[in-house]
Amino acid sequence: MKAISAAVKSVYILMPAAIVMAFLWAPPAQVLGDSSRIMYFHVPIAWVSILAFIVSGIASILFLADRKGSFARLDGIAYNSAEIGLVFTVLTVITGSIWARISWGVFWNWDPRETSIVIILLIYIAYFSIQGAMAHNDNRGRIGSAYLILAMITLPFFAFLVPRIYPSLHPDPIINADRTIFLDDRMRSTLAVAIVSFTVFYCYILHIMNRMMKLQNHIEENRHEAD
Amino acid sequence: MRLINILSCAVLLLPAAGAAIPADRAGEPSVTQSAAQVLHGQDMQKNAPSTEQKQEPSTTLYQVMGVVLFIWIGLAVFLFRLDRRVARLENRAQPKQ
Repeated sequence: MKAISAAVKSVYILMPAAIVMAFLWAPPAQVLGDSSRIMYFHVPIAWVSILAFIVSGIASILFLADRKGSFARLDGIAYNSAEIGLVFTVLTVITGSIWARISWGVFWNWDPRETSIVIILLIYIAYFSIQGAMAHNDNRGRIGSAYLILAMITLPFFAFLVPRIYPSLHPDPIINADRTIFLDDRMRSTLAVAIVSFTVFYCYILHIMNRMMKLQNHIEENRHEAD
Repeated sequence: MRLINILSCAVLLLPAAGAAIPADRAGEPSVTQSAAQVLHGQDMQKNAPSTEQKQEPSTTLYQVMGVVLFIWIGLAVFLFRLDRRVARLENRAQPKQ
């Protein structure tokens, strides 16, 4: 536990390094200019949102598979991860809209990628609605976990397939004729540092949220014992 | 709720980053224009990022970076303090467990 706590604190060094690299070290893209620098925030944030949803799905699978109840808090971890994923998805939409405003002249264009992220958002908002509606239901954890697994199954379709099936103005097909991401070494390494920083940032937030959840459960158990 | 507070701060940095950019890239073709170039089969090598650009970063870029770093410092202080408080509560709860 202490090793995890120490490892996630590397975000205090990694994130400022990523910010400085994004603004000063990485060169601007020729067509997109300095606006391309938002990529070092938009792409890692989008990556974290997908990662958070995958973690919540995997935690849900483990929660449902665990018949002995030895990992009782996994549904809580799945909930926390989905919560982080939802916030990061909103941030992805915001950063994407800013980039769209600069590049396309409008904040929203109903591009396939924009539409698919709205659907992902709605799927996970529905999860929190279900969780809120079943606050005192004993099956809350199981139903929520089943929903998160189904939601995770839809992710590859909306995040990766839809934007590639339908023509899109999203930069990855546009910048590159061969439909592969072309970045020079400095841009690539800056993006890698930014992705690592945001991933560690996600781990740090999840770690704190899980510890808070554990404390909350402990307090509630003590209160029940006192009653 | 705290998480939403933390990340809403992060949201603030992004319009700042976006707002500063158009002034730096006036006269550049938009993505829509480059999409048209793709559709009409023009040379895509032009779209590759330049490695030879040795322009000094503009002051706006420094300003945006300053704002982003400032917001990150705020977030980092908040996270650090939260982490410390949780650790303190954990230590207090441990003997009772």
